[in-house]
Amino acid sequence: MTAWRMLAGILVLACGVEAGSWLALKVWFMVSPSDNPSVVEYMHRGHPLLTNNEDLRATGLGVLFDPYVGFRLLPSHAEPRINPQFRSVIETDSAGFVHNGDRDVNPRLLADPTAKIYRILVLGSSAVYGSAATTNAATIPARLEARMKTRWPQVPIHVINAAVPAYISTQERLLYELYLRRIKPDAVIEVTGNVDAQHNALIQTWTPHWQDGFVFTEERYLDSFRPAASARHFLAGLVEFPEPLYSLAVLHRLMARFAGGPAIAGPQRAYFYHPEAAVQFSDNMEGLARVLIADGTLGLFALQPHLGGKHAELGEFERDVLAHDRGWAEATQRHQSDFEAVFRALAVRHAKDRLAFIDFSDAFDGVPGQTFENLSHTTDDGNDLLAQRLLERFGPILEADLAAKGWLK
Amino acid sequence: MKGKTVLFLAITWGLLFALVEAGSWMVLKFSISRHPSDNPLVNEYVARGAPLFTDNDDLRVRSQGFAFHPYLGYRQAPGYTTLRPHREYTGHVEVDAAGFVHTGDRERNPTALAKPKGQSYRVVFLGGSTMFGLGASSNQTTIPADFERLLRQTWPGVDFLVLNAGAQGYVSTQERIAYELYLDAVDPDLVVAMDGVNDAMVAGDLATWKPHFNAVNILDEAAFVRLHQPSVNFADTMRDLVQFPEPLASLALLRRILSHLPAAAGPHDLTATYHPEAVTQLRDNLDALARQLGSERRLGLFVLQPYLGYAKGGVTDEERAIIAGYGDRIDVYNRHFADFTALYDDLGRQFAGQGSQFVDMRSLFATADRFIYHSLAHYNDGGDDVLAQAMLDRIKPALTADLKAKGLVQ
Repeated sequence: MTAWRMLAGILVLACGVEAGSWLALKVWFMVSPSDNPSVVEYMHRGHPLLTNNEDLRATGLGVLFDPYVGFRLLPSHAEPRINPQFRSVIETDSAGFVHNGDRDVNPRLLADPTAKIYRILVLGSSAVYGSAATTNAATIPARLEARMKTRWPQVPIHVINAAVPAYISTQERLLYELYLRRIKPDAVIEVTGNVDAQHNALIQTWTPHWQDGFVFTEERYLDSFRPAASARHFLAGLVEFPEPLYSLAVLHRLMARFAGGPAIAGPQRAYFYHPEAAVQFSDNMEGLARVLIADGTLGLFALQPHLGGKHAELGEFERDVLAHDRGWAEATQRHQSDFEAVFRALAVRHAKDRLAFIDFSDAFDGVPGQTFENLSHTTDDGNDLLAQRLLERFGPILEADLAAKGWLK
Repeated sequence: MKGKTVLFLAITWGLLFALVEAGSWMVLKFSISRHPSDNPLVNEYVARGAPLFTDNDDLRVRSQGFAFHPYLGYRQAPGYTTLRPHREYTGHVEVDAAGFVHTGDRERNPTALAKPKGQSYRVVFLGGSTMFGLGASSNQTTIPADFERLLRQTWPGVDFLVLNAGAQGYVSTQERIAYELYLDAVDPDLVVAMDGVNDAMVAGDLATWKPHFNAVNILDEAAFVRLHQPSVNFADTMRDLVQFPEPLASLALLRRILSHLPAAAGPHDLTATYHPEAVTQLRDNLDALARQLGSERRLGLFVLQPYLGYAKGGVTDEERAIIAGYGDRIDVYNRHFADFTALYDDLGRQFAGQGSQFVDMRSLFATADRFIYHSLAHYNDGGDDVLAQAMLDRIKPALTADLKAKGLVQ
């Protein structure tokens, strides 16, 4: 009889926890609503006991698997980000691009291949995507589009942000060759360098085209063949966002405090220099250049600035970031120096082609105030300034192309 | 009394289970001793002893034959031997440690690639399962191996290194990426790419066009999403249990029974669809490859491959049955191939004098009365040999000039 009572008590307690945590979650979101659409949808659907939220769990990753580039951005997804200085939400449109402020523009303009517009595609990684921008309208491509429209008001300019966080130059090249080429842009601006320099500094033994942000690896693939159910993975899956229960969210936070839990890795102790990184970087730039030349597309290659590079004046926050990641910054800088040499060589080699290779690592020299949020993500101010620099240095080439195509009569 | 019944049932079930375990293992041992397997993994599995005391997870992983690859979808697993039973023979094709289908010596490619190129002349072969050697009886009778033999007979003083990078199921997109990212680095002098069937078939099997789609990619978005789900999938667990190497003979038997149950409709039961985009995609891929070869002054030979259903003289009964198995779908493949033929003509003109040649070899077996095809595009040893000879005949003048220019022949 005592056992039955205990069992009943446990059941009542479990029900209380279930109902209580859900109620607490509901009240919490009523008090401070989330700006994450997945969370909003999750709350709207009702109690997770009665709802299958697996699709939301998958979209929570924000990326789609792709067999040729590893991963691509999930269309119509909003990625919220909270850092010590600001909150931001960057949204992809239904075409899978980070829009410049209006989520309908890219799908509408891309649906009409006969539209008379001057189309510019911007390739890059997280800095171009807008990882440190507060809104879509504050990303580098958005600021560039705004500045171009001011400079050439008579030209219907359409700038597409095709950047994907963590992409290395191999992925940028393949994304363009396999998928984006058919958009037939008039010009391609490739803003690159930092991820290649940083990721290669993390690997002890050189691995061609390796990248740290792959959502899927050979190891995980092989794991999928193992029939054993892993309690650890099962538990980790339960408490991943969106949390089925508020209590599990608390558990997630507790687990994150333990070593080996789902905590974000801190700075690595050792960093490495690989001379092969520059060869690979050069091959990728050449590969992209070859396609642009074949299509008669204007190619503008920008070696992006990074914190710890040229001797720009640093703000207090930037000095702290640099001090925290000094080893990584130094290893990155060695690769970046090689990339600068690659850009100089490519500029000479392609002097007669409709291509420009310009080093922007000095873009923030002499600029007071903060332009970086971490080693390579630029803030809203940094984005606007970089867009200004891009237009200053690529402007004459773009103007010549616009004139040649009859837009500047 | 109730406790005794439970105990009796537990002991009975335990004994029965132990008997099944031991009995099935003994049957498997006895069967292998009577009929030794030609699969080295099976032999190793049996040699290790009963799976109750042995961790065979490494064998399970090695038995996959394909490894995940982030830029190619998948690649052939190094050190793996593919077995393929055919009417004439069972083919054994092995991938070496460097990831290539070797031409008879599994040590040669890894050793040669670890050293500087020196005075060697390197040839890279790109393609799908036909180039891989899925119709061949052994590594020595694949198209690249035949080509290598002919090269050595023609120029005995030259140190040729022939690398077979053919991979089962590859479409031209994968061949292009494999070359751009990895194979260009081996510094080949000549690249031979044979395409057509996979691009025509995979595109034909799509109801709606999907760029660069490959039906046999080992991982797709749906599988990727599934892997993030924490629930234990009973069906997958059961499937894994009965996958080779089988932990128990009884499970092997279960697998055999399962395999006889009606399966879901396979791609060959479906209706094919013509997609004009297929030829545009093939053009993009071949054009990119040829441009890269031209910019690096390498020779290129692009072959539109022969396939059953087009210009085969004296079709045998077995070959007729293969064609019949595809039904009306073959007409759609023919439409894609007609587009590809025009493309090869066009690219041939575009790249004339730039080192790359484009040749349509669909009619190669037009006068062959004997049996050639094991499937729609897998040739037997005789067919591979004829194709290798035709390739050499075509590229020989350019190859001779290149060998002379590099000082490798007088």
